[in-house]
Amino acid sequence: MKKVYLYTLLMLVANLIFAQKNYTTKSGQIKFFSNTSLEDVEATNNQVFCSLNPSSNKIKFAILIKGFAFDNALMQKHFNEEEYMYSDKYPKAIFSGTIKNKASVIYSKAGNYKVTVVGNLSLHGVTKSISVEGTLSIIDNKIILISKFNINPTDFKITIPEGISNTIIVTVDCKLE
Amino acid sequence: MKKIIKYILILVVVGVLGGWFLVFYLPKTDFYKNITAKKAAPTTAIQIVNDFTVNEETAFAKYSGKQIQVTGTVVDSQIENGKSAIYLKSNDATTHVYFLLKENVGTIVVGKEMVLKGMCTGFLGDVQFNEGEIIK
Repeated sequence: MKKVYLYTLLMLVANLIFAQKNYTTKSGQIKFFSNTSLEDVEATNNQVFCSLNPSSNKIKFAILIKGFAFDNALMQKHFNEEEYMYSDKYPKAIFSGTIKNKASVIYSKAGNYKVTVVGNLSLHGVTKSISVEGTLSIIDNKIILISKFNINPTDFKITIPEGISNTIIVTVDCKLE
Repeated sequence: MKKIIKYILILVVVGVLGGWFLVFYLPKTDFYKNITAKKAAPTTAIQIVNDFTVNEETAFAKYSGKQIQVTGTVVDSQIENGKSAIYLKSNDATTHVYFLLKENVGTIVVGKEMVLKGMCTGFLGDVQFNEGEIIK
C-alpha cells in the first residue's frame, strides 16, 4: 500500500515539475499546400515560434509571413504582394489557444496524446476562432506537436487567384524543449 | 500557305516552351533569386537589432524582404530541420540575429566573427533571416 502512495506521490511531483516549465521553440515548421491546375502551391516556414505552458495548457504560435519559402521565387513574390498576403502591412500570423481536452494529457508520462486546441488565429488583419486537432507527443522531456488542418483563405479576406483550390492544407510540426 | 502554317506552329511551340521556361523553370534557379532579390546595404548584427528594438515598423520597412549582408559574432549554432541555424550577438542579451542557412554547413564555432548573407523576414523575438549563406 505504501508503495502505491509513494508511486502516486512521485507521479504528482513529476507532473508538477513538468507543468511548471514553459516549453518553447523558435524553429518549428509550418507548411502549406494547395493544388492548382498548373502547379502546386507549396511553401515552408522553418522559423516558427511556439510555446506551450503545461500548467495553463495555453499554446501560442507566431510566424513571419515573409518567412515562407517557395521553390518558385515568382510565386513567393506574388504571395507577399498587396493582392494576396500583403506581408508589408500584415507581417505576422499569430495563433493563441488552449488545449480543450487537457485532462487526457499526462505531461509526466511519455506517450502520444490526441488533443483539440481551440483559439484565435490572426492572419491578414482578421482574427477568427478555430478548432484544430493534433497529436501531442512527450518523448525524453520534449514535447512534439503535430497537426494537419485546413483553412479557408476567404475567411481571412485573402483573395485566391482563379484555378487555385479554396482550401489550404496547413501542416504544423514543432519540437518544444 | 504550308510555309506560313509551319512558321506559326514553330512560333507557338517556341512561345509555349519560352513561357514555361520563364514562369516555371527560371524562377526556381538561384541565379534568378539572386538577380531579382531586393538588396539593402551591409550592416552589423548590433545595428540591425538596435534598429528593430528602437522602432520595429521603421526597421521592418527598411530591411524586410531584402537580401542583406550582416557581420556579427556567433553566440549559438544548431541544426534545425536539417539546416544550420546561426545566432549572432547584439547589445541586447535576449535578442539576436537568427540566420537559417540554405543547408547544413557543419560545425560553427561560437565566438567567431562571421559575415552572413540572407533574406530578412522581420522581427519575432529575434531579427530573422532565411535562405542564408556564409560569406566569410
